Amino acid sequence: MRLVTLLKSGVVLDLYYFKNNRASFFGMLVYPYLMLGLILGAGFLFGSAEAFRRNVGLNVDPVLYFIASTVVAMASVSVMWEVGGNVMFLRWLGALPYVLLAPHRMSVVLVVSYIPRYVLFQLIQILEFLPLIMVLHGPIEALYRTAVIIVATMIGMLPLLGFSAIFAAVMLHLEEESNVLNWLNPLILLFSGAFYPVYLLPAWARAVSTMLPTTYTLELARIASLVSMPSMGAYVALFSILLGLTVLYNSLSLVLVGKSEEAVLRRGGIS
Amino acid sequence: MKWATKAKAIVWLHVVRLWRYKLSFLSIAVSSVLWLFLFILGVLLFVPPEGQREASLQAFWVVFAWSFVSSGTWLMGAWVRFLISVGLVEEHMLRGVTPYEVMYGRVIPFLFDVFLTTAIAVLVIGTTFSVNVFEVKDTWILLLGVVLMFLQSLSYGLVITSLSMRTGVPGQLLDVVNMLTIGLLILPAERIPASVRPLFYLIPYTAPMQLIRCGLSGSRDYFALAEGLAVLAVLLTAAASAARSTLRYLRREGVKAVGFM
Repeated sequence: MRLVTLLKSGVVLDLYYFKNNRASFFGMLVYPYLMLGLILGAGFLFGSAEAFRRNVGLNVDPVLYFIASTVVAMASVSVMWEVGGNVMFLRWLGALPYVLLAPHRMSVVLVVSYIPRYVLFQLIQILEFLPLIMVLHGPIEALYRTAVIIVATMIGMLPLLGFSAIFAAVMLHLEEESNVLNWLNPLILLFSGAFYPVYLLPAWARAVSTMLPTTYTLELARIASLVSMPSMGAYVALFSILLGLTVLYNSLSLVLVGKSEEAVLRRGGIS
Repeated sequence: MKWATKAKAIVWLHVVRLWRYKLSFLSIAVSSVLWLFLFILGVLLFVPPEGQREASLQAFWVVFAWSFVSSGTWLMGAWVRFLISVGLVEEHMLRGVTPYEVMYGRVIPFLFDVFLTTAIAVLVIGTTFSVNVFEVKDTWILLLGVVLMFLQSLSYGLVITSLSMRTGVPGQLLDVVNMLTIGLLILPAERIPASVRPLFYLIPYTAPMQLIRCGLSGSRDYFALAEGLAVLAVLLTAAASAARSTLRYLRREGVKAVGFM
């Protein structure tokens, strides 16, 4: 089976998923706006944009700040569940032994078949904010700012895939997978500074955040919310860190998932 | 089967399940609080430092109220799909126990989840913002709000139970409705123009939340109390009538579901 076939199967799976799960598709479209609406609504109800800028310490547009945060948060949850948590769903469906017996390694199957879904879902979720950004910043600037968010989520996906595959390796050994993933996702977002900037967190939490790929993806995506654009150096620094983490987490995942598969197969723990 | 035997069996069922799924309950409570905490942190970025203590106190009670709404939706309304999928609705009916009698026992995990979520929220919000979340001016009004909130969410859970048995309510839509509910709980009634406020209280959960806020501030709102009771009466009537009609339907048509093997 070629990798292209795996990619193709991912695309077809998504198209049928949308076709057969219209409520899910509707939920996917509505959810980001609901999250954004709730935070902004409550924020402006109890405070102001001025207080926001003072607290954050940057001259940013709060709406774009939370659009970028919402999109990256949803992307992170999606990757963690669809790659890290996929082991659990495959186990429930009884399809895990077949995936393990497939010609490609499980980490490759999990990651490659998920990429089309990620790209499609993220593009839909980012582009559905485009009209709002156009109203706030005009069409040309809106296109530029949206492009920054798209680039951030696409580059941010690379280390996150490896990071999630490492969790998939751990999931192979756990019997309470959903219990772990349920609280791991918000915890990762909390330490990544999803809705609250990392530099406002305590020192120990900042130390944890340096290891998380989502921290840098959020930083990169939030560049779109800055009133004045930063220098090229800021982009280069964030790109470099994300690419470095991509190499680190993906190499680690290749080793760990392989070893984990072998160990689980040896003890006959797949059912 | 005697009423007492039925009740004992149903209570036993839910207590045993609660014990077996203790880690799941803990996980649900931790993740709910963490998600809401993330959201609260985002909102607090808009609040000037001098107002953050008061805002975090309000946030705690929103989390508390929301735990009732969430448990009513998921642990009652959505849980019935599990009962249907494993084929236990027919089993119970054949032994003279209606699915609703089984559902009444869900009050046990419902209240346990609320307790666990609240305890974790006290720990997380209380320690992060150094605030005593139990600084209450009028305990009785607050308790009245809590009881109304519980009964309204229970009735809503029973309505969802009936809908689930008739139609199969998609989980995503329940999620969307729950998120909208958080928005309603956050909104202080004082921000609504006085002329529209009586209409606002007709939305489920808004009046009990206002009573909880009254308990915190020591104020009184008799409109909220009266309308909260009226909404509860409507919800209870709707739940009872939906239950009667669904039971008739189930006895005639059976339950439609994709079962687990």
